[in-house]
Amino acid sequence: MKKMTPFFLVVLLFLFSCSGAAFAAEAPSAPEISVAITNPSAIEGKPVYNTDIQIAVKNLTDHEIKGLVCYLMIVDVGREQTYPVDEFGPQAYQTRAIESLPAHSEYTVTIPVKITYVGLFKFSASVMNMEKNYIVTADPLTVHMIATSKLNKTLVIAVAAVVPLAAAGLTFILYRRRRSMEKK
Amino acid sequence: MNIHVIKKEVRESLYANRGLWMILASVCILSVLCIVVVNIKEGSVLAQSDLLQYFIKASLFITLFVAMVLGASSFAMEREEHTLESLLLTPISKLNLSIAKYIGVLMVGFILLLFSIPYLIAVGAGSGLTLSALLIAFFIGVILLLAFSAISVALSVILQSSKAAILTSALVLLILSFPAFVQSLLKQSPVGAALLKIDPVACCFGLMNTAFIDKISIFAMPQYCLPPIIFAVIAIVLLEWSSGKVALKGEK
Repeated sequence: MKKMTPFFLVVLLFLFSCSGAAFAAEAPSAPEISVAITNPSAIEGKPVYNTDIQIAVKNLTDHEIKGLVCYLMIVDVGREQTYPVDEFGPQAYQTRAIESLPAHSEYTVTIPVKITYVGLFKFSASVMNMEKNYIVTADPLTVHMIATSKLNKTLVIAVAAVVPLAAAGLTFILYRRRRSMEKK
Repeated sequence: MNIHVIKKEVRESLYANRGLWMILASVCILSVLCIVVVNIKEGSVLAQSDLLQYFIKASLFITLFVAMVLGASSFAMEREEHTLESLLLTPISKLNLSIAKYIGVLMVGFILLLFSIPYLIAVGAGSGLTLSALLIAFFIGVILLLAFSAISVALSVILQSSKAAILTSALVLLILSFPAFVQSLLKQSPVGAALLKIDPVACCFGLMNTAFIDKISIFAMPQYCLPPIIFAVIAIVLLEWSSGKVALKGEK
């Protein structure tokens, strides 16, 4: 038994040394930056909402990071589509470059948006490292634009049915009058 | 101004040039559009201000198109049907004749604008935007109608055939409307942004958007009001200039 114990210890050490390398290969590399939408925390508005979306980009490393680009994406949950971001204000589509982010420092990007659509949206802010080719995305911001439409569908359909009939009647009467005048 | 000539031209626009049928067709298109937009999912989630904007744009486009077709065929048809000679033999000046034809086209366009009132009232009911929608539709509609009708009548004088005049008029309308429909693309370049500032149709759309979304009075936005007004003045001057060129084929 005394001879077996060192043998087991050696085997265990060998196994640990092998598995360590295997686990290390699968573990995600530590993120260099963190991205978060700090303000507002949620939006519930109607029918038009103007706000500045503040995105905090933090360098988690002990070295300077260069060549970062921050941008906004919008997902329309109800309609199952993304939007051209410029429909959410003239400055929403522009990317914001962060040329240099010193070690352990934070930079706040402000993107003004103007929401005129009704529905449920998720605003997502991402930061792309142009040098190392990776993207870090913040937790999405929920935007709920409440429908204020008081559209009277019955009235609209009634008008859509009645007006052409009235126009057809008027056309018919005018043409008949014209013809009778021509005969005279 | 000879009132009889104007009456004759209005009657001609309505009856001889199938203006009445065009009005009926336009009303049917607006009705179909109403029913479709109200019933599809996308339409039902749109805000009423957006729906109102779509309807104003649709009714404006139809009105302008009909007016331009009628305007473009006004002198060209007279020439093709050999009735221009008898008109020129009357003691009415060429300018008065052009104005009479212009008013005839404007009347049809105005009737079409009037037909859009019930639709706008129905779509805007309950939103509190109906009155401003009507004001905007008529303000923009009348300015663009004055401008595009003048251009089409002028083209009818300048070009020899009705086909060429109608096609050119439609092209003018499409070219000037194009920047308004690709605003998001154009505003990304300085040239495109400058183009959007002077394009009359884009200015009208911008005016409408700002008035509905930001609730600003249309008279407080000269940057949007001036280009269409200047465009209308230029078009009327073009009509006045072209009226001197009313002549039979081959006549100098």
